[in-house]
Amino acid sequence: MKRNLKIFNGILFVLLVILILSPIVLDDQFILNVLIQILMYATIATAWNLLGGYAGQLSLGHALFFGIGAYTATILHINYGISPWLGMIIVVAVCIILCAIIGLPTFRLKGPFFTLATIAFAEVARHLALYWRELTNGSVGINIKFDPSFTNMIFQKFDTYYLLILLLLVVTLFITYCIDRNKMGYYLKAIREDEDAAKTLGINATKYKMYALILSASITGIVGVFYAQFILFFEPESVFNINISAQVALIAIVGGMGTVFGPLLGAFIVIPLNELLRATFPEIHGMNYFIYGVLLIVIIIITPNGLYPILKKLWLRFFVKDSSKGAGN
Amino acid sequence: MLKIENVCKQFQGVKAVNELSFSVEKGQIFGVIGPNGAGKTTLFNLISGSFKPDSGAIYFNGRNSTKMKCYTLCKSGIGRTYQVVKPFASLSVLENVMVGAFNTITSKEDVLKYAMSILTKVGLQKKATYIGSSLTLAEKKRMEIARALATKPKLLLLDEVMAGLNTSEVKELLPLVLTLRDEGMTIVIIEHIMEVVMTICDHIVVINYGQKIAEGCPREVANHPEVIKAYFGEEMTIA
Repeated sequence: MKRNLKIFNGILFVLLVILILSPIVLDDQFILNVLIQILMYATIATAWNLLGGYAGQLSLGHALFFGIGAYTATILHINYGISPWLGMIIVVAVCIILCAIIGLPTFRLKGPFFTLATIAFAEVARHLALYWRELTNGSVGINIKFDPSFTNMIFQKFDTYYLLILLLLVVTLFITYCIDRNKMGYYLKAIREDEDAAKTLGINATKYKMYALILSASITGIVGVFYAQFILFFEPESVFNINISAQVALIAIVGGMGTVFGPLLGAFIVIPLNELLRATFPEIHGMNYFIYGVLLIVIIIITPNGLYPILKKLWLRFFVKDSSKGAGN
Repeated sequence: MLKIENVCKQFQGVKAVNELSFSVEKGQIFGVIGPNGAGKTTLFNLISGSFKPDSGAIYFNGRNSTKMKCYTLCKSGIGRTYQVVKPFASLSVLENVMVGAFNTITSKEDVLKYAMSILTKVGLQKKATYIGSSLTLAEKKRMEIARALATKPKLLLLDEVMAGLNTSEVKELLPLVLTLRDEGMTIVIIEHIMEVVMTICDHIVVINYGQKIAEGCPREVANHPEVIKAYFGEEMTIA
């Protein structure tokens, strides 16, 4: 029984690797483009999940870190010739400072203050990017010269971007996986469930929430850097938009908050659904949003904990017949 | 072990704890009793560091712990349970206890082993995989005790762990408390059920309106006129 399962998992893994590498072999630019988008959102949602899903601190302003990543690295690149690879480190540093400003006062309070602060900071950043024209070029946006090279982090073909974001996603998933299995994961979940009880069990709640925020923000910032070098043109509305923050939270919620692979699943459902609906109703303006909204409401009513836990249950029921393992849960 | 000195805590004009002093010896089961609203739970919140006193000082193990934070106090050896249980609802019983065990143990395997041994001690080993919210009240209270024990406390604060349990459940829980004491733990217990207090406590302090009205061994306290007055009211005299 156990050996069968091992072989089964092995086959599954090989299939997965083939599936992951197939877009590169097929070399379809459209599919690669869509996949890069999905993987980007999957990475940010996985990072969001560390904070929102595990620690229970709802952020509705992750666009802040995304935009800061894009702008900081690009401005440093264009004005001072600093490679975006190095820029990533500076982005992480900037994100940590922002986290301290947002987290240190609000994590001491109970209630919606953290969520409100994230929205406020993202909006302030958007306005700053719009009106601080000397630095950000305002609403005209920033154009990055297409000059492919490794140091510029600009590549001739999409497949390099694809592999890059895939790597980032895998690293993020790995971090989440490690946290999930270890002390920090237990502590974050305890804080989410009952902060007072967590504190009396020796958990420095503010510290752990801060760790989660910094990790989450830094990864989001790095994805922002990636986005800028991939898209080569962006403006305040395309990186600081509150829709991005909402989308990221939504992906994690639909996929399954507080699970390692939930946000990944969510990204593969929400992003294609969004694109599909946009393509299906080109003539009726707003129809796609309407159906999108209804579908999301239905999904959340049916599966308040997200799709991942349900899929996992079905998986266990049909493929792992050893039912004694799941008893009691 | 624990020394409270002239501690006051006020909530907008209400003196929840007022000039309270007492001390708990190592290895004691120390009872805190008093009518509803007497300030017992506030006292626990002060000792465990959830609240800071307005004045006065608290000493734990000879160190001034008045200004110490909740989690540092836990690290230095104070464990507590809550009157209104606070389980980590979506975690399993075992995981609940593991959270506590991570306080002193780093390796996950050791944490698992230790958490399991604690669950066996409180008699919840069969429920290890159950989700926290699915337990009965009695089981949740046991889980709270297990979680607090997992942090390896030297001083355990039990806030009405028997309240809401039926007689047989109480009879099951009592030996556990006594075992813990025999193992060298110091226990401060808030309890309303007099039968429990009188049988297991070595020393009792009675508080009313945040003030100490009596202190002593169970028998002394039970016959103290102030205590009788607080619980049953004053004797009426007909002229």
